[in-house]
Amino acid sequence: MIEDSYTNEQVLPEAIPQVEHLVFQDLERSYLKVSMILASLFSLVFLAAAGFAIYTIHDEGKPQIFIYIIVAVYLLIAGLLLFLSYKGYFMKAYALRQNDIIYKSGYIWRSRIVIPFNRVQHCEINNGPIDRMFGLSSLKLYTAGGSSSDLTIPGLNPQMAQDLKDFIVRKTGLYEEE
Amino acid sequence: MKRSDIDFNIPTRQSYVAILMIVYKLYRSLFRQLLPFIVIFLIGGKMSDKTEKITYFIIAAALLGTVYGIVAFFKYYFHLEEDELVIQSGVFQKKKTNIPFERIQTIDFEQNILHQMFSVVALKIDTAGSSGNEFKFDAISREKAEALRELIFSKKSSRSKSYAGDLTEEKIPYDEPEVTEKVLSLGVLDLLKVGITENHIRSFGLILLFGFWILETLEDMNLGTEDIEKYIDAESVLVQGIVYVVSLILFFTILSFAISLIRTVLNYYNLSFLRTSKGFKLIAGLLNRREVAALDNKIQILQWSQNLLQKGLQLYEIKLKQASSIEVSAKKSIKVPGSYLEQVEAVKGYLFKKQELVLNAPHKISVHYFYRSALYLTLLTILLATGFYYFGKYKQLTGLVILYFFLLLSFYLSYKKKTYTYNDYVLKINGGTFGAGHNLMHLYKIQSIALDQNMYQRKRDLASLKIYTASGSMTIPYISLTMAEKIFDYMTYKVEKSRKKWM
Repeated sequence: MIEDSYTNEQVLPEAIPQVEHLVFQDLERSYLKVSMILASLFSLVFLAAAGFAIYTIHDEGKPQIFIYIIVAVYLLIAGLLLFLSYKGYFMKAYALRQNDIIYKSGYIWRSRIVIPFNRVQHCEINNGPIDRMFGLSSLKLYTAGGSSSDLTIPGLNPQMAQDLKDFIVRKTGLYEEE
Repeated sequence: MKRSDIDFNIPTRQSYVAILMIVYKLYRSLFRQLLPFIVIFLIGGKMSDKTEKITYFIIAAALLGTVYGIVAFFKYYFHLEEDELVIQSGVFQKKKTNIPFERIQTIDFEQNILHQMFSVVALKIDTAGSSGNEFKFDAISREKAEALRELIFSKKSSRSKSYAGDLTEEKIPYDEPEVTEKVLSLGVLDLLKVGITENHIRSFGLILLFGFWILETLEDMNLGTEDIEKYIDAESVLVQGIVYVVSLILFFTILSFAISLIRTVLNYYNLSFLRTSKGFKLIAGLLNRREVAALDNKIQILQWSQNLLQKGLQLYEIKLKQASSIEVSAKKSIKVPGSYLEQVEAVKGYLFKKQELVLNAPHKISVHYFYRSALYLTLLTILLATGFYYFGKYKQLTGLVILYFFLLLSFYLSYKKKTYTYNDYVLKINGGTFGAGHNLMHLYKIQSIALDQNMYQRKRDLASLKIYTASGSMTIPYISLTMAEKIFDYMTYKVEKSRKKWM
């Protein structure tokens, strides 16, 4: 059966759709707040570590200068975290095409991943507690390529997430019938 | 009992041998966990209050575990219900698992020495979909296992047929893939070659770990290193030192070889690699005889590689990487050691059509791949070297410099050997450092593609491509951005246009 449907049409270079010329959709503006909150929460972990370090230094009567250094390092890390998630928000965008979805992200490490609909295993809509506070959802697409190739598109408004999911499910269903 | 007489509709237990297997597995894991205690106990020999308590504890745990294992065995039933395999289990809490036939991907048999003695097999059922879905029967009589496999696969194929066309439930007998050709079999001499050319680093590491561990234990028991160091100090003649080092290295080398050899014999004794009507089959092993099948449609990547030693003997190691429900596990790829170019070509010929293998000369990657890693390596080395120099550790400094040049060379080689080429059907990526490796795959087996750029690459208009498949990912690093975009678009197009099933 596989052999029968084997075709080998010639493809002209200009017939291949190019990602470069795509118009990407930005995420919801409120997702910027969500990612800033998440970054702040994450920096709290470092705050705990810094607090512990300062406490020990104080306890052991080491010179004050160490405390200043730790505070400076902490501020640097926290600032970097916030800066990167702020910048990262503006890098995140997706583009829906007839046969696939493309998602780009990353400020320092830029990445662009494509998932063809005929390779989607299933998809789901998630909304975590912070997402819910801002009325957002995220869409997750699973492929057989392992967890590192699963795609999560955050910061969608729930209706949009549902529409995207319906569209993709319809598309993937189409392939299975053939 | 004839196969057809076996009734799978009523819940059945496994063969009683399973009790043995369960208890054996339990003791084995217990033994592994407690190995350090046991060794200390044996070396120390002193029966203090504490060790006595520990011994009782171990015995109690073992007894309790045995009872639990036996109860678990008697509470473990399986049967077939229409088109599902149903497993009931649980000692305290009842659990019922239904596995629809259509989700069952492979059923593999495994026999260790205990299985062989009682002519039973362990049955491994791998399912598609969510990860970690693997079921294992510890022991089932061989004919029962074969009947079960046959039944499941015949029902499975009849179901999928009835989906496609009319709904008549005609039963298509599952044809056990027929062996059509022997691709490779390893004799004693081949086995020796394989053993010698194995990657010894792992064995070496094992020995080293063991050595450290012994030393540590000795130290713990206070009869340790101080005394030894004293002995060495007393005779600290340079010549003797050299003799020590050389003989130590020799000893370790021979030991690593021996261990690799033993491992090879255990794993690949009497190996035969067969071509069947639907894929490949590998049967090998001395104490634990494995029979693994790889179906053509499940194989995602064909890999053949050789390390430096294998290059000398023109040996290859073939890997058939299969799609798996478990996160890209090594278990799911079939490894065939001791092949020559002839076998590689044969396997290639089975999996790919002739016109698919017409490939252009491979493209090189950007030299920045080497520059960047060399840059980081150099910076790190300078930092460390300054430290060593500052503290007057000249011995370490010499070692560092040697290591630096070694790593630099290996970075250069891996840049030089990283090439790729593709046509309308396949993608081939070559690599390797001191040896060589080749990966070949059909384009329609790609799951998704990522184009990545770090800051260094952005400045130079370079990018890396990551190709995800159902059996792991492959990277084409540091190629020009335009090329990367071209390949990204082209392969996406190829995947989306393809109507072939990737599995």
